[in-house]
Amino acid sequence: MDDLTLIGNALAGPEAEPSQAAVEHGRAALLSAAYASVGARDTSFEQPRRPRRWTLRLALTGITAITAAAAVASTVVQPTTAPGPQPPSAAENASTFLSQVSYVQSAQSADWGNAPYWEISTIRVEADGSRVDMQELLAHHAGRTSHLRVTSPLREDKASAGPGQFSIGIRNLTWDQLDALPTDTAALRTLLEKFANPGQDHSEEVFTVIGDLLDSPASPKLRSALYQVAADLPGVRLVGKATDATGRAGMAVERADGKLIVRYIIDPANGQLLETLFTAAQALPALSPSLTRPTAQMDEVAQGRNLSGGRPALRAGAVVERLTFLTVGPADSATG
Amino acid sequence: MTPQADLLDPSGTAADASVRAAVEASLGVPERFALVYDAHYRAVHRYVAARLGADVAEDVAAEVFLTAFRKRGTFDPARGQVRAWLFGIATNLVGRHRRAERRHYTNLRAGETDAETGFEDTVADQVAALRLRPQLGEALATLARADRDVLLLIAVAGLSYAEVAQALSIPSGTVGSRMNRARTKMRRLLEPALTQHTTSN
Repeated sequence: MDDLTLIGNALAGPEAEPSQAAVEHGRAALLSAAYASVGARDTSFEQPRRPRRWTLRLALTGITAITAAAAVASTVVQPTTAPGPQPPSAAENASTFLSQVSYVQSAQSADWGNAPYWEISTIRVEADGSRVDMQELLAHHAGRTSHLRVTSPLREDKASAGPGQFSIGIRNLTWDQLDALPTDTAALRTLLEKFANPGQDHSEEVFTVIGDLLDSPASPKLRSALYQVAADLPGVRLVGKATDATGRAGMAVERADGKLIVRYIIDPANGQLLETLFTAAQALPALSPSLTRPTAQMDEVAQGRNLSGGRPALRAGAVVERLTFLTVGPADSATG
Repeated sequence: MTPQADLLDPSGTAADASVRAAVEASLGVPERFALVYDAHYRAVHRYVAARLGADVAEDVAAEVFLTAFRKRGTFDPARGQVRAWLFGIATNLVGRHRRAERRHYTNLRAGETDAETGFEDTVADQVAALRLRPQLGEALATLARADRDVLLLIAVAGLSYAEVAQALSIPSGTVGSRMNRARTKMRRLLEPALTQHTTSN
């Protein structure tokens, strides 16, 4: 052992190692600063999101029909967790973490099977920084009206009769069809592959489809299976503790394909999806607002378009879209 | 991880590319900087603890990454590696805690440490290192700060001469001359202890 090694060993012995608490404190402080910096440039909030649910393209010409968007009397019922399994604490990797969430889900019960509506309220920030606040109220059965409302920056209400349809990958499913999905992991995985965009990275697409289902009325049993499918997907990375745009703490997992990185922030205590963040894995071209792009290439990244359909060119690492779920759950009515 | 393991750590080469990419990506997605933290926090903590003591290392090491995060826009990948950049920041921050550093070396000299050493179960080399502490504390206190920075970036953090040059923004020739001066002085001051170690081996 030479003198330098001896000096190194003498000064940096075992007591120089940080405690796990120190590691976590430092990381939390850093992430807090990182998120604060996002807030600081909040005025340039970035907005985009891929088309889903009703393929809504609001007529943003002038001041569109502004509905008075009456307050919605909704009662959100949270799933209840039976005593037993504890929320995931220190998962080693994404697979372990997702399996733990799956386990927690398996012990949950929910009584939203007969709820008349499913509410999904979101803040969506697109690539150009524009922000859209939305509320979706999807009717369970025929005889009711589903609503897709934009509450900011304008107010608009798009109503459609009959059961709402949940956009799951390339398919649209009603609530009843969601209830019929298999909860066996292998069967579910096979089915999710059929819902995925063809011709692309299969695991990546399945990962994205799982995200589509996590804000649907999927039963705890189905959600448990979804998390287990996610746990078994290759390439999913545990990012660690994260905070969403509203400051809620969760754990982040992500998966990248060649062009896009999809990150989910999940509340480990109840498996609720708090936020989906898409970032560019490589530079992405601008999309023209004038095109509805019906002939878009299969492998084109469509996320990040603003309400008029445009998206600026993005460099690698840029936020393509941030979708924060404020309320996800059953609702009693959808007056409006 | 021991300092030797740091020297073998490829973070200075291939793995640094992904960390560099994370620094760049964090300009658009700030939380990407967490990857930089995950890759280097422990090593930075060890370096700071070696210089200031474990009791203040947590805060200072965390401050290193907060500072780096704030300055991430000025990091130039063409000029070198993330690791060297971080240790440069760490060395600057250590420099602001001169009183703590003096106290730490005084404690070493007096045979006091901040925490359980855990040396009871470890190998003879580490026992020898522990025995060296009192003389080491005394010797380090006599070095000029600039020389001490170079010596400890190499001996504790495991940086190469080129990385030290980048970290401290000095020519590599200066790194060499400071290192020679520091090492010569340390050898002279530590000679009795080093001889004892060699004999006991």
